[in-house]
Amino acid sequence: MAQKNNKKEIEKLRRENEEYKKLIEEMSEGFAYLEEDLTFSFSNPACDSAFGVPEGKLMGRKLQDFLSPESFKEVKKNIKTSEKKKSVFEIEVNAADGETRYLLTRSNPRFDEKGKFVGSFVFFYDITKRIKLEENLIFERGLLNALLDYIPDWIYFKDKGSRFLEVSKSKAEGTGLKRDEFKGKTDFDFFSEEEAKVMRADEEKIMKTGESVVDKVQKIKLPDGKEKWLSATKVPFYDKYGNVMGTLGITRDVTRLKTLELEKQEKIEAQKEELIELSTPVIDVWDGVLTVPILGSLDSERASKISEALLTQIVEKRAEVAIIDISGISAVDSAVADRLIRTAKAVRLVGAEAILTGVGVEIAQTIADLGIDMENLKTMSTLKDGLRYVISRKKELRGEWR
Amino acid sequence: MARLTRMHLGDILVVPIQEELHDTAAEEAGEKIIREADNPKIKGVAIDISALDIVDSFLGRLLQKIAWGLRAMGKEVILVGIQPEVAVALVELGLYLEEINTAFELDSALEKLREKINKGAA
Repeated sequence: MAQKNNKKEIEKLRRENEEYKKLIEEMSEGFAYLEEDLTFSFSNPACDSAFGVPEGKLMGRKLQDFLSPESFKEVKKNIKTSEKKKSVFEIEVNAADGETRYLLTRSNPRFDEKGKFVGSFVFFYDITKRIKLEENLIFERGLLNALLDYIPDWIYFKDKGSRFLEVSKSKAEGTGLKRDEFKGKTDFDFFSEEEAKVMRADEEKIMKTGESVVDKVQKIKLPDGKEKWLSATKVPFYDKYGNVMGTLGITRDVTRLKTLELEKQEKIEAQKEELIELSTPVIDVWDGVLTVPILGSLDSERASKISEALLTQIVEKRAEVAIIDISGISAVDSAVADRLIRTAKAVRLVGAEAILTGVGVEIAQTIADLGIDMENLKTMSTLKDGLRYVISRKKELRGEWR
Repeated sequence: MARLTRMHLGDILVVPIQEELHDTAAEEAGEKIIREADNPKIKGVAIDISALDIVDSFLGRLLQKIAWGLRAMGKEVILVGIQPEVAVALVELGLYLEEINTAFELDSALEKLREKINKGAA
C-alpha cells in the first residue's frame, strides 16, 4: 500500500514536472540558468530567440559573448546580487542574428553555504519595441523643442477651445511668461478683445471646415503695445482617428517687409499721379481747337483722367473740336480702343466734336481685327491731317456764318 | 412736383432743368415737355441740363426717350450744357445719345437748332 502510494506520488511529481517544463517552454519571457561563470546551461525557446540563436543552441555559450565589454562588468555585478532593487535591470544584447535587443532582466542568484555565487535563474523580457519607441519619442521631442526654441517665427498649438497647448520661445518672449506658463491661456489674455475674437473665429472656422488659413497678413497690436504686421498661417490638426484636436499655427513678423511695400506703393501711387498729370497735356492749338497727344500705354485709370481733363478743358474753353492724337500710343487692344471711343463720345455729349488722329496702319488693322466700328467717330491718319481738316472747316463755317 | 420752366423763343421751346429729377417727377416732366412741344408752331426743343451734376441711368434713359418722342413728332432736339462728369457717366452707362445734338450753352444750341430747322424747311 505504501509502495503503491509512493508510486502514485512519483507519477504525480513526474506529471507536475512535465507541466512545469511545458510552461517554461511556452513562456513568452526568456528563461535561463546561468552557471557560476555565466555560461548558459539551460534556456527556453523565448530566451534562445531573444539572443538570436537557433532553439537549444544557447546552451554552453557565455553571456559575455552577447554584451559589450563595458556593459558586461555592470551586468555581471547585477546578476550576482540578490538585492531586490539591483536584481532587475536592462541589458543591451548584441544578438547572434545581428539585431540589438533590449532585455529587461531579472536575476535570482543562488549561493552555496559559504555564500559563494554558484549560478542564477534569469528571466529576460524583450522590451526592444518600447525602448525604440521611447528613443524615437525623445528624438522627436528634441526636434520639436529645437523648433520651438530656435525658430524666430511664433509657433503655437492650441486645443479645441483655442487654449494654448505649446508655444515657441519666440512667442513667449515679450509677454513676460515662460513657454510652459502659456499652457491653458488664450489669445484673450494677450490681445484686445476685438482682435482675440477675430482669432478665435478664424480658429473655429478652421476646425469646422478643415480649411487652413494661409498667409493672412494683418496689423495687430501686440501685448507689449507695439503695432506689427503679422502673417499668420493656421491649420487644424487631428488625432489618429481623424478627430480634430485643435489648431496649430505659425505667425511671422512681416512688419519690415510690409512697411517697405507700403512705402513703395505710396511712392508708385505718387509717381503715377505725377505721370498722369504730366501725360495729359491738353493743348489749346487754335481758337476752339484742343489737342491731346496720348503717349505710352493707356490703362483705364489714365484713360479716365485724360477724359476728365479733356472734357473740363472743352467746357472751360468752349472748344468746338478736340483732337485726340494716338500716334504715340504703344499698343492698341480692344480695351484701349473702347476707352478711346468712350472718350470721343463723351466729348460729343458736352457739345464738341472729337477727331481721332494718328491712326496708323497697324492700329487701323488692330481696330478692324477687333471688329470695332469707329461709328460716328472721325478718324485721320496724322495729326497734320486733323489740323488741316479743322482749319479748313472753320474757314468754311465762318464763310457760312458771315 | 417742382414747377418746370418753359420758354418759347420763336419756334423753339427751351426747357431748363434746374434740379435733379427722380422717378415720377422726372416722368411727369418728360410728359410735360412732349405735350408742350405738341404744337405746330414749335419746330425745335432745347433741353438745358447744365445745372445737373449727376445723371443716373434712369434720367439718362428718360432723356433719350424724350428725344426720341420729340423726333417722332418731327421736332429737332438739342441737349444743352452736359457737364463733363455727366458726359462720362452717360458714356459709362452706354447712353451715347448719338442721335441727339448737343451744345455747350444755349447760345450755340439755338444757333445749331436754327440751322437744322432751316435745313429741314429748305
